[in-house]
Amino acid sequence: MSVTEREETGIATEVPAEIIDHLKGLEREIQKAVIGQTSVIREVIVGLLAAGHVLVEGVPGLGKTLLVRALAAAVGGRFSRVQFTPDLMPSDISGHVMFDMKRDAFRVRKGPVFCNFLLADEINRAPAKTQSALLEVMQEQQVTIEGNAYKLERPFLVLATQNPIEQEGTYPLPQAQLDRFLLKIFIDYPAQEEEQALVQHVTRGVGDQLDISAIKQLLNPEQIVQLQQYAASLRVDDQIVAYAVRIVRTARDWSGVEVGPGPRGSIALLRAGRAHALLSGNHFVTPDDIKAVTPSVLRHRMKLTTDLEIEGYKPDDVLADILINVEAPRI
Amino acid sequence: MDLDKIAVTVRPRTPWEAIDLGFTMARAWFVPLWLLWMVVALPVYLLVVLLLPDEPVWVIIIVWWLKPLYEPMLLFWMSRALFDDRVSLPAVLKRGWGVVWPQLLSNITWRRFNPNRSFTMPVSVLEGLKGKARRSRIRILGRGQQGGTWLTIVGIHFEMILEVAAIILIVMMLPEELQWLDIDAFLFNPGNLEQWLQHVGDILAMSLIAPFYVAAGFALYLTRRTELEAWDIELNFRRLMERRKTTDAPVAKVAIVALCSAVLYSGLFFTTDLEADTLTKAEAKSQVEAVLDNELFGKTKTVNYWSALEQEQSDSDLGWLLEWILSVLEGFTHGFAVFGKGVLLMLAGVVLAWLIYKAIVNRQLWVPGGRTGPKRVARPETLFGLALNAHTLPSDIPGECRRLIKRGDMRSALSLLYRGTLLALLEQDQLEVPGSATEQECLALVHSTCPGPLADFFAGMTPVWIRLAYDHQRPTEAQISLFCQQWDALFGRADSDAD
Repeated sequence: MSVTEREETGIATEVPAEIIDHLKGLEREIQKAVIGQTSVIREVIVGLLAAGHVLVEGVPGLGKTLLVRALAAAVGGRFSRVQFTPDLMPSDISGHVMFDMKRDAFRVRKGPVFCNFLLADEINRAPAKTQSALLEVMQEQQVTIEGNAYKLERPFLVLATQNPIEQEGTYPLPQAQLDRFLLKIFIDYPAQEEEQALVQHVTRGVGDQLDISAIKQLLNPEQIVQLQQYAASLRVDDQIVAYAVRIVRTARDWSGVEVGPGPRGSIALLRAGRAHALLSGNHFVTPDDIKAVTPSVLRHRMKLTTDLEIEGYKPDDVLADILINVEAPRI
Repeated sequence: MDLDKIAVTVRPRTPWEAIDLGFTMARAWFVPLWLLWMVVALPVYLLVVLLLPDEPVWVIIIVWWLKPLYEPMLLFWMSRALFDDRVSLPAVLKRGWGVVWPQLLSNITWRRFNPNRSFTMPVSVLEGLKGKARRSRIRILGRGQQGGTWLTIVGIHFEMILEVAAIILIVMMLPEELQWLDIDAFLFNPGNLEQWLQHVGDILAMSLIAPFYVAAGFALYLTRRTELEAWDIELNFRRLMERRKTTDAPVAKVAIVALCSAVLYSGLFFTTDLEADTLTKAEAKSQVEAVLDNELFGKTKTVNYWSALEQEQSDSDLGWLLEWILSVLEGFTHGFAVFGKGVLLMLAGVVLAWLIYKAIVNRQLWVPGGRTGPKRVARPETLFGLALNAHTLPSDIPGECRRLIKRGDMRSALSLLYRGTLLALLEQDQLEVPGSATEQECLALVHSTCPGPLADFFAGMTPVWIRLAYDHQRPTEAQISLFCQQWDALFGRADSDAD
């Protein structure tokens, strides 16, 4: 697009101050409940703005549930939590039809999936058919019960968690299903100061209940949808698109990568890049936005060869090498 | 060489007995031999460590490669000790250079991988032969001798076993608190620390094997010379003569006289070395024939027998075929050996040429304090799609920029200024910018490499450039003019001479 074209389209040259205030406020409100984990909070908001689902990997007790509840509280959405277990059935998630003796009629009992924010705890503990039911909901944004399709409310964000240390009796998500998640985020132990502040914060009340009372509702679900639409409208130069595709293609052909990301990886990169740019207060995407979201967007879309896995390499190590070797955009 | 003083029993031996003799010698003189090896090898090791502190693998390879540098000293000491001349270590070290230096280059290059090294080393070190004379001597000594090669093969295996044993010993003896050192890491995935610790085992193993290796090679050499030059017979005669001098017994006298007569009698037929030199070929031949004709030496017997003609024919056919196959095989193996030798020589030549080239290229490293010039930085030719070649830029960047502003071409003006700034930073501040660096990463690099007004200027220009590049937002004339002024203040006219 030429300079004159840019001026004629009438696209705003700055992000409205109101949006920036909302985003900064959202981040600030979540931080009131979730101490530390700044980058995790930021990545979850990126997922929210990009209307994508997030897979969180981390050991138990790091505040995954708190994070989702804090997010739900700050945007005023409905929150559900499902603890995945080996005997969990698809209808336990999506809902089912039951006979109402009082009304002498069948009625639909909607499952926990009818919400804005769903925390699917330890998703790999449920068998494949239950996982598939959820992943279908994630993709289609609707639930079919007894032949009737029910649309889900927007925004709809699934935060699924995985425990990386206990693999016995689990059903690892297949590569094709992992691809449905926009981001995979690692949540790690907090730093000394953060953990100290966290312990102080939690032990102020009775027991160790999660306290989200300090969080104010800043937005409502409609505003979130508007933010998502605004993020989707951010400018992306052709060079940025080419850069994202170049990264994905390089990852696909990289030595040591058995299965690389598909075109959905490039799409996800741009979606997440847009959200990241908006969170940074920009109304256009820069190569830095793409580079910043690359690890969380691509790490679960690639499978390393057995050799590399035995040597202890993680997808993040390979992605770091790839980012060093892929040329930045040429203007 | 006084054979009377020789410390070992001189007699014909098989190669295995000779190696056994060498091991006995090494055990008897182990301490001085081991010390001598360490005294030479340790300084070499430390020197290589100083030169290549970050390359533990190369350090041990070089120390291992230079084994022919340490071994001649051991051989020299043993050759003196064998004849009851115990040379002190300082005295050996004083003469060391004279022992090691001749043929050192050959020993550490094309002769390094000669499996017969221990056996041929005395020819170079003790006899001082080189070139054609050395080759001819080794050809005579080495005829039918494979003991040296087997000695090397066995030595390599024992050295490796000792190295692994030393590593295991180190790991076993480590306190439990040092759990981060495990045997897997040591053997299969050694880090820097493990490699340095391995060196202890490597040097220990090399130093333990070296005395045995050199002594066994020397014993093989002695045995071969005993066989060829009849040292044992000479020694026995000498002892008999000694005994004759010391005894008056008539029987003994008779025996000695008889033996001497035999020796004298044999002297008529067996010419001395001196005589051999003066004899012509024809004279020598007639004397050899006279000896062979003598009944004392032996006699020729002709036996005739009958054989069937057809069978003989078929035998001769088979023999002809067999001979032909053998000759072909011999030619093949000979040709293969010649080919292999040629390839090895070519490889050695290539490696030597490469080493010379590297030495010439890095010659400033050999001069103390030689690396004083500015560090050369690998500079990308383009960054963010902008050509960074000085030849593509005008000499007066701000002037050209102002001219473009007047023409209303803001994009070209900012592009030129941004490019010029990057080039100036690359040229003047040796800023290393990888090709994958984004604008923000580049900005972070500038902040860390050259903080101050330059970084502030670059920080001001980068967002304007990003907006232009990815959002197509035209900068204002005033913005670019301000950048031109700042450019003048920062780089002045000096940068205009950059190209």
